[in-house]
Amino acid sequence: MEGRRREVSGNLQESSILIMGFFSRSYKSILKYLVLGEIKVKYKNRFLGAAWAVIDPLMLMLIYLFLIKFIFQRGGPNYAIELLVGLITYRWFSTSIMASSRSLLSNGKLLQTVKFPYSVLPLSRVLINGVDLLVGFVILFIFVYFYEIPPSWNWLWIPVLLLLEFQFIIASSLIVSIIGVYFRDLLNILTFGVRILLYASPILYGIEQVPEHIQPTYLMLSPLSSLMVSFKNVLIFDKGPSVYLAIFIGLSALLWFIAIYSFRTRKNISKDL
Amino acid sequence: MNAIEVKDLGIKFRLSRFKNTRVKEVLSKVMSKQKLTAQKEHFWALRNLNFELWQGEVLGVIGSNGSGKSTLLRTIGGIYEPDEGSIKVEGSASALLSLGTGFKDDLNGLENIYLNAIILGFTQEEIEANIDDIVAFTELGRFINEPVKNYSSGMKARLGFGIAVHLRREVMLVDEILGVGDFKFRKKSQEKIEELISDDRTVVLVSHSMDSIENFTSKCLWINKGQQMMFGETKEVVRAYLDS
Repeated sequence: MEGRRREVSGNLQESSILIMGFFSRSYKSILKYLVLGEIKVKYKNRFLGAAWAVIDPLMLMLIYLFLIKFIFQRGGPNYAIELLVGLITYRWFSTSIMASSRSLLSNGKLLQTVKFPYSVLPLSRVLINGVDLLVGFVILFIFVYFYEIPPSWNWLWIPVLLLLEFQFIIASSLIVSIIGVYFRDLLNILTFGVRILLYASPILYGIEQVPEHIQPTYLMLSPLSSLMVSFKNVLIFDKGPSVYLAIFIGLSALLWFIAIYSFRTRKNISKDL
Repeated sequence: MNAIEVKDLGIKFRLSRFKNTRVKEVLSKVMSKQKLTAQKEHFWALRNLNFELWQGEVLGVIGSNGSGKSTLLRTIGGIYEPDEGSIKVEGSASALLSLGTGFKDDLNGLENIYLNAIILGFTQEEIEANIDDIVAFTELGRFINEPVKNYSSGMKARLGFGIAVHLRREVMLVDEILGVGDFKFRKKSQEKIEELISDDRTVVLVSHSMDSIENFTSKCLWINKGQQMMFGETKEVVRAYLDS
């Protein structure tokens, strides 16, 4: 007999699926197959295939470029790049949490059939949308080349910032995936939420356009603002990241706390699907 | 050795209105100053279950619709945690419930075999060792490379069944699958299940067909509205059930 023994009694808490799961081999392989399968599905059956990962952020950028540059006659010389870096990193967040919000519900049947660490479902959504981000970054650097922005040592911050964003998105996605089980109209709310966040973050405009006396308040209250400022700083303006990233990191810690707590206490989520 | 040991097992479901709430409902409750979690009604889908199953034994579970049979399978499979009492499962249980769950329509048969088996908890090596048998068993031929969305329901069932019977765990949970596909395939799957059962494996079989229960199982559990009516030798339990 192998040592796989399951013994559960009424009040015994199972070790947290979330924490233990992340590092186990089976967790990784489930994640791998989910992500690869989804990527294949996402790009294979479309007329333009993987090109959509490029077209989507580019179209968004062109729309705002037209609006701001030609209609409002605003925006600096590198406005296109400011837009692009903001839009692709923001899109990773918005598409991931929207997809995660329904990830447990839409797999309800599966979750009621097989016991598996269900946090892979939202996590896989984050990774799948990360592919669009990577493609977006390739385009971004093509633009950076043509706009003749000189390479700088501050570019080394980019992977650090992406990692920070990654963990923030995972924590948020885990939380919305659980909430989504109990509030079926979460997706409708999120659709508005991410739209508001787009305008409440320095993506379409620079932080310097926010009146100086409210800048600190703005950076503290708008959750993605410090990240967006940092991306623009290190990529275009040859500066270090914003000091307000500390707040972003604090907020992430809080979100992780909530995420782990809710996954621990909702071990019977399959009953609620 | 006991493969499954169930003591005073109870599984309860919440009936509270808080589940699946829409914003509108919450708002109207807040307006009328009702407490959000006021209704904590629940019902016991299973209660006071007591039975033991030896390794290699085959247990049949019978009872009318909604009596808690599937809930019991899910509990043995580890999907539900007991709210009362305890359950011990020696080794790991694998589910054979509702075949084809978790298939991705746009992936082909082969890709779905891998995805499904990985989710069921098998390793890549285990799958590779069995992949040829699975493909041959499904009789899908070149359709194995077609997206599953183009499959007929029979083909999907065959694919699911192929995965389930070739990748095995110590405890197999079977929910009404004896009638899969056309006559020929049904016969083949019957044989496969008989092979599983004659094996050293512990099997829990849920079925409405008294024929399959009497043919395949040695022990039988009869539940009604979540309560254990009778547990014992299949013949006696089935007779009592039919007489009731």
